[in-house]
Amino acid sequence: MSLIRTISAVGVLALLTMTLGETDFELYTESHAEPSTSAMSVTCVSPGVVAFSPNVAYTISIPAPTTSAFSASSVTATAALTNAVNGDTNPTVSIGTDAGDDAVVLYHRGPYIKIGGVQCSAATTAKLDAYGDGVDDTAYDVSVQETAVSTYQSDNRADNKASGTPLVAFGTGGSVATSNLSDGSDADTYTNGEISFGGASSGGFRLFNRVVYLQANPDTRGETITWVFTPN
Amino acid sequence: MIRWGIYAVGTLAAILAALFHSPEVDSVQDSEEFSVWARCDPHSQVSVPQQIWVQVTFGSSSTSPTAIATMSSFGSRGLESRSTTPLWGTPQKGWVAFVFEGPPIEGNYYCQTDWGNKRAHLSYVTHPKIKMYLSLDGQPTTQEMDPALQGSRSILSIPPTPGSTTYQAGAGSAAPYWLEVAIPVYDSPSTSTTMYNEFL
Repeated sequence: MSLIRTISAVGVLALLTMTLGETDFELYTESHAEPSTSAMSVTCVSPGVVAFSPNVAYTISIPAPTTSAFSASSVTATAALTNAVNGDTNPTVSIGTDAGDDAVVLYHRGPYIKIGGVQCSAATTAKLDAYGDGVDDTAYDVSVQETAVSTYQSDNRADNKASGTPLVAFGTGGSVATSNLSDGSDADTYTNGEISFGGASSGGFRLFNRVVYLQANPDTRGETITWVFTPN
Repeated sequence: MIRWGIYAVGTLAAILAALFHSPEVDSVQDSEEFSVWARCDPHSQVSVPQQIWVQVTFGSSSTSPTAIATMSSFGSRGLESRSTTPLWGTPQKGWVAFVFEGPPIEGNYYCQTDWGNKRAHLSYVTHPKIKMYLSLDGQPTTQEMDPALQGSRSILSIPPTPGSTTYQAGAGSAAPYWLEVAIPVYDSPSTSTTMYNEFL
C-alpha cells in the first residue's frame, strides 16, 4: 500500500517537474539601471569693465531785456542727450540762482551714467570721480551736487579739476552725500553686474552749469568731463 | 484478505511493468524531456554625457548688460545649447539663470517584460553657488531638481522607441527636456557639481 502510494507520488512529481521545465516561466522584477553621473561645471568669463556716459548739449535763450534790470527768470534752456544710457530721456532744465551778476545757472537731474562688466567678481560697489580736460573755459563751469541742492556750489566744480586731483562725486568725502553705490540698489534697481548713477532716485545727483552771459550771438562753449568709476 | 490480494497483484503488475516496459515507449518519453529554454536576464545600459560645461560670458552696452551662456556636453552623448536670454534676479536677487535644451540621455533595456514608458530621475548634488531646475516646456521654472538620488519631483516620462529597446530623452527625442542653470552674478569664475541620471 505505502509502496504504491510512493510510486504514485514520484510519478506525479516527475510529471510536474517535466511540465515546469517545458513551460519555463520564471518571474523577474523590472530592472533598474544604476545611476549615471555627469560632471557639471560652470565657468563665468569675467568681462572687461566698461563705462558709459552720454553727451549733453544745452540750448540757452536769453531774451533781450525790456528794462534796465535783467531777470534770470526770463532765461530758458533745454538739454538734449546723445548716446543716452539705459534709455535715458532728455532732462528738464531748471534755472538756478546765486550765479552772480553776470551769469546764469542751469541745473537738472544727472543723466544716467554707468559702469558695466563687473560680473564674475566680488566687486558690487563703485566710487565715481570727475575731472576736466585741463582747458578751463572760465565762462562755463560744471559742478556735481546732491539732488536736494538748488544753488550752485563752486566747491563742487569738476571741469577745473585734474586727473590727479579729481572731484569725488560719489564716495567717501564726495560732493554727493551718497556713499558708494551697491548694485541692486542703484538706479537700474537690478543686480546685474552694472552700477549706474544718475536719475532722481538712488544714485541720483544734479548737474549744475554756470554760464557767464555770452558776448557773441550766438556763442558756443563746452567742457569735457571725464568720469572715473572705480569698482570696489 | 481480498483487498490485500488486490494490492499485492497491483504492486506486482507495477513492478513488472517497470522491468519489462517497451523501448519505444521510453524513446517517446525521452524526446519530451528535450526542451530548449533560454534565460534572459533583464538588464539595461544607460548613456549620458560624462561632462556638462556651462560657460557664461557677460558684456555691456549702453542700454543693458548682455550675457550669452553655452552648455556643452561631452562623452557618449553630447550637445551644445546656447541661451542669450539671461533671467536676472532668478531665483533670487544677485543671481542670473539660463534655460538650455537638455543634453540627450539614453537607456537601453533588454529582456524586460514591461515595454511601457520609462522614467528618468534627474537630480544633482546641491551646491551653494549653482542651482539647477528641470523644465518640461522650455520655459523658466521654479521646479528645482531633487537633491542627489532623493525625492521624486524632477522626473521625466520617456516613451519607448518603436521597434527598439531604446528609451531616449533630451534634444530631438520624444521626451525633450530643458535644464535651467542659475549662478550668482558676483562670484568666483568657476564652480562645479554632479548631476545624476537615474533610469527607473
